Amino acid sequence: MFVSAKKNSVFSEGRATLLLIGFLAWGAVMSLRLAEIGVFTRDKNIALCEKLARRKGVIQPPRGRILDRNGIVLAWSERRHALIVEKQFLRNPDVSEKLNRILERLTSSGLTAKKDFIEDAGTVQIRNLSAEAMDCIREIAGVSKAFKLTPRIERKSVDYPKVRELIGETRLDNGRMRGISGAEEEWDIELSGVPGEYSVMLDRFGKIIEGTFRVEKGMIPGTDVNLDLALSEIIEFKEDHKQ
Amino acid sequence: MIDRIKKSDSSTAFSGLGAALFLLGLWGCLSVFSATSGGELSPFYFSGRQFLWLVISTVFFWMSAKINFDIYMSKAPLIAFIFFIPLILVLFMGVEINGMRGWFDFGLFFVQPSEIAKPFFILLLSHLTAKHEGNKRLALIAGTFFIWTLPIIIEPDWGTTAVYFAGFFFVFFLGGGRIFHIFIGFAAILSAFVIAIACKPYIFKRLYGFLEPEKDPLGAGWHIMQFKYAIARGGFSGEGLGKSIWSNSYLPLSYSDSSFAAIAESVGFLGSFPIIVGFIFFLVWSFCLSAKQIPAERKLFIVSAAFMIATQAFMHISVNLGLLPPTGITLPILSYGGSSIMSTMIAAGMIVSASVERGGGRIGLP
Repeated sequence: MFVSAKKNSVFSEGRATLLLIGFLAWGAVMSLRLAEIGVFTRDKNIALCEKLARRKGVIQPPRGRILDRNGIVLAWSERRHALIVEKQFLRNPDVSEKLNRILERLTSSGLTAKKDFIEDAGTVQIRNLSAEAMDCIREIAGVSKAFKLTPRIERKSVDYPKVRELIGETRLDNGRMRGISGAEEEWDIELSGVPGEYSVMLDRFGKIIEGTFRVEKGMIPGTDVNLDLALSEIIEFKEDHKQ
Repeated sequence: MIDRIKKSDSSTAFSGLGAALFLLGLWGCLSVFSATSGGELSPFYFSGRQFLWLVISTVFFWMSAKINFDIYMSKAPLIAFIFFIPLILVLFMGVEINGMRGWFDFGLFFVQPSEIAKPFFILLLSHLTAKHEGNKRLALIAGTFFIWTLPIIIEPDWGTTAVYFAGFFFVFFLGGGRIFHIFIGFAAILSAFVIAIACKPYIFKRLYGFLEPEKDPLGAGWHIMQFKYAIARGGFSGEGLGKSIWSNSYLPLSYSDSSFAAIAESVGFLGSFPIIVGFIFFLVWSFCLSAKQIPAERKLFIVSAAFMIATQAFMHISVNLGLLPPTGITLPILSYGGSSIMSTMIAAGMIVSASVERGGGRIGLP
């Protein structure tokens, strides 16, 4: 009844009804499929996409300070930021122009020194950025993903040779700061703390997707170490010893 | 409700269809905003343009609804010819985007002639069906289909070609075409498909990726899996507008070919299921309009045009749900693209015009 039509007819209502029923059935199938993916098998699909995109990393704990007997800080860590731009992005004229503007603004206002500008095979970097320098960069770069502000940790100590000798030095070992001489080495376990773990999602180009950072295991920060000596004694001791 | 639609006057048809499509269009603007919120450009760049196109297209909807349908029918060959010429010109003067030379670049905006021409293709086929009978009718509408779609195939735009084929099929089938001819046609298509697979192994690989995407999630099944992940992330109520991480990071062309999956990620099942309902409402409303006391060729046009729009919408949604292989078809009204919105609104206006039982106070009415 629906499929046949009068010969040379211009419009068959029966066939139109048949097609409409077909569309309604198609719509029902799509609705069920939508419910299946989005509701009933959602957890399984989420697990698969997390596996594809989520990556884990280590949260380095802040290194403890070294203090003298009187609580004066002899060694500490400082967070510094660096701007990193991969050279592949510089092919984009907009990115290249923004970088030039950033360099011009930072150098003309004295916010960065020439020694902090580093260029290697794959990246262009500006290190030791102050908060004002970062504000300036954010203002010019906007939301562009080509410009990455990356934190770095630097170990500092009292700027006196005898103190530096006593404190010792540190080195980055697979992303973790380790003491390699002096008090830094002697008290390395206490100063280091326990690393934590994070996970983050990467997009199809390997870039971190904002807002997806998640702490999987909390880190334990390093503890401060108090030496038995006072700062003045350290200086005098070394002087007397030298004599 | 169906009886009310049948007995309704033209203003009810105008406001009902117009309102449904405008609301879908607004939803599309929000969807484009959400899908482009993680990009380099401001999301208002795309959604603002989309809204502008929606407003302009609504004006065209009103204008095309006001023109007496008898004028459309009597001038169908001329109108169709006017809109066929750009399909040829675009092959020589158009710009190539994503491997397809199908757009005219006017600086501030692009125009895709194969989209704009859709309602006029149906108009011409309906005119030919009304004027001719038997094998001559078949030859004319089949010949029109081949000539019309040849430049589109050359672009190449296989998704749009499939939509045009659907339009041709509806006119032929609803116009009383013989079932035997339909079987012959589908057999020919199937044979062509088998030959294509034999000659081009990458087609088989794509088909395999569609049928078993989990087996090769990083290769042939990549696109299908991204649709799934985006929809799954949306869940029942969605991640929120502007917070669709997967659409912005992994889903290719989230504002056009992957619109439905991007919408589903933003607003979940609650916000994407109404889109299916909206298009079904459009279908049913158009079907009921065709039941009015109007000439058969008008009924043919109304149903064929509505079904063609719905076919494109359902194909897009089915691709995004993994029910069909990826074809590069946009979602009418909701995907980013002024030409698509314009085409759909003009078609809807012509449907309203065709549903007028007796004209009065309209442009060109005797």
